[in-house]
Amino acid sequence: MQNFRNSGEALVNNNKDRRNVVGLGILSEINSRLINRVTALAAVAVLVAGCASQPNSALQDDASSNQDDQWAQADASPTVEAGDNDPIESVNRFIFGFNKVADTLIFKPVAQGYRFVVPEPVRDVVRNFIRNTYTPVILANDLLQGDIAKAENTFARFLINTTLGAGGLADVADVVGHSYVKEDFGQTLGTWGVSEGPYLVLPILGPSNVRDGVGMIADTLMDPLTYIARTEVLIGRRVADGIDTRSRNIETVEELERDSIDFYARVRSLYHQKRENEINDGEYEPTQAPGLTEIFPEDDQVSDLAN
Amino acid sequence: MKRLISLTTALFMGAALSLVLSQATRADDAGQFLVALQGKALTHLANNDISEDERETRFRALMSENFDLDGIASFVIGKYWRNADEAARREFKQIFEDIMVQRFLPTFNNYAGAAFKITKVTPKQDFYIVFSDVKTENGETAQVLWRVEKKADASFVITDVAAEGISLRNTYRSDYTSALKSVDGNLATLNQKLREKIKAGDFAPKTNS
Repeated sequence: MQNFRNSGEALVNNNKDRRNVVGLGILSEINSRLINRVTALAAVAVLVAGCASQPNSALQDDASSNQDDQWAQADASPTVEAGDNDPIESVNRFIFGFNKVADTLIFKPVAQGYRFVVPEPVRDVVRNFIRNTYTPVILANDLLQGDIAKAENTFARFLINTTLGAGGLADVADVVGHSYVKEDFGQTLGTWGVSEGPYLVLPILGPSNVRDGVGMIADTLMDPLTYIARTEVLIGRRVADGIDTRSRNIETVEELERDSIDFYARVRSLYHQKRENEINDGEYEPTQAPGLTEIFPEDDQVSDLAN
Repeated sequence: MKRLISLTTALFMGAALSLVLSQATRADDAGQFLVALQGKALTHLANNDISEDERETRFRALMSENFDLDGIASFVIGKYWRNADEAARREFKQIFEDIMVQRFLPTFNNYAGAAFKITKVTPKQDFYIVFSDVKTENGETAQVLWRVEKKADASFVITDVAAEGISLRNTYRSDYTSALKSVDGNLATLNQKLREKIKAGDFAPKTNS
């Protein structure tokens, strides 16, 4: 017993020494950060698996049980209201409202100001540079999806833009036929057949779902810059990216809001449809992952509902 | 016996082949229907000599003839359709047509002459999916899918359109059913709201700045 304790202490001391050798430096720092994050990720993944295995229709029946029951039963085919996968709707609506206020007060004015002050070519340079820094994440996801052609495209873009494009400032690759395709781990999970899980509205970050939320964490973990760059740089990149995206969508969002009765529901549906399309890479049929719904499902007859 | 088997096989294969062929021609027809529709739309609408009112009348006619507007209208109301009374249903169908006109007539003016190419037609059990590539204003190609059904009189009708994976009727459906849920499924209340929005021109796309 005594021996055991001694050897344990020796091991600890030994470890401490090793750490001291590296100077309690970057490596161990990265390791502990990584371990913490991986643990967190695993915990969330378990949660997702639990949520994902819950059938959609059960959630919907639940949500609409206080409405006219007889129709809910008849019409609740999972594809019909697939966009409604929203068991915590009231919480989501609250955060959606908060985001809208934040957008009206901060993000939209800033984005408008940015668009007004900074000329378009410069804004494009900013976007190109940010996109280039995300290359490792996109490349990793291309590979995880088993899509070699896309991985090649991403890699070629990186080489071309980093050299000829002056460190990613110009998107030369796009001109020669390597256009930008964003891939994230949420999409990767989607191609693996993980269903989206309940819809979530994240504070500031906006519409998401459990799968894509997990994807966002995984993407951060996959990004080498997470371990190299300073926190301020990482936050700066996020903010710049957000402002740039917002500045390119001002009219679209306005139009969308004007044209809908229930803006929240409209955005929820659009998010769902957009993500499914991204997971399918715009292909309607060929390699449809099991968790996805079809755009035009077979059992979705108009005539059934008409009378 | 051997002969009988080969005869049966031949017959069976013949039947299968003719089935495939007839399906292929019908699928072709669905694509042709859209190509013809674009041609029709061009000759009827992309004419600078006609007044705006006349253009709207023609657009409306073309749309109600080639789109299953009633079917789409009832689809977007979802489960609330059955409980709605006939008057509210009729009113909504009219409103929905107005919305479509306000929303898509200006868009159509921009896209009328756009390069439009049918890339594939996939027959499904009760309908066809026609895949098309449309060149947008900024020169990018967008994939537009058409859900085309065959009517009893053998003519075709469009029952949904999806651009870049976003389906028209699914999008409206989630919006309107959610709105209806908050007003206890009262279609007349939704009609009222929509009428106000039409009056305000809310469905018309803003011209790009």
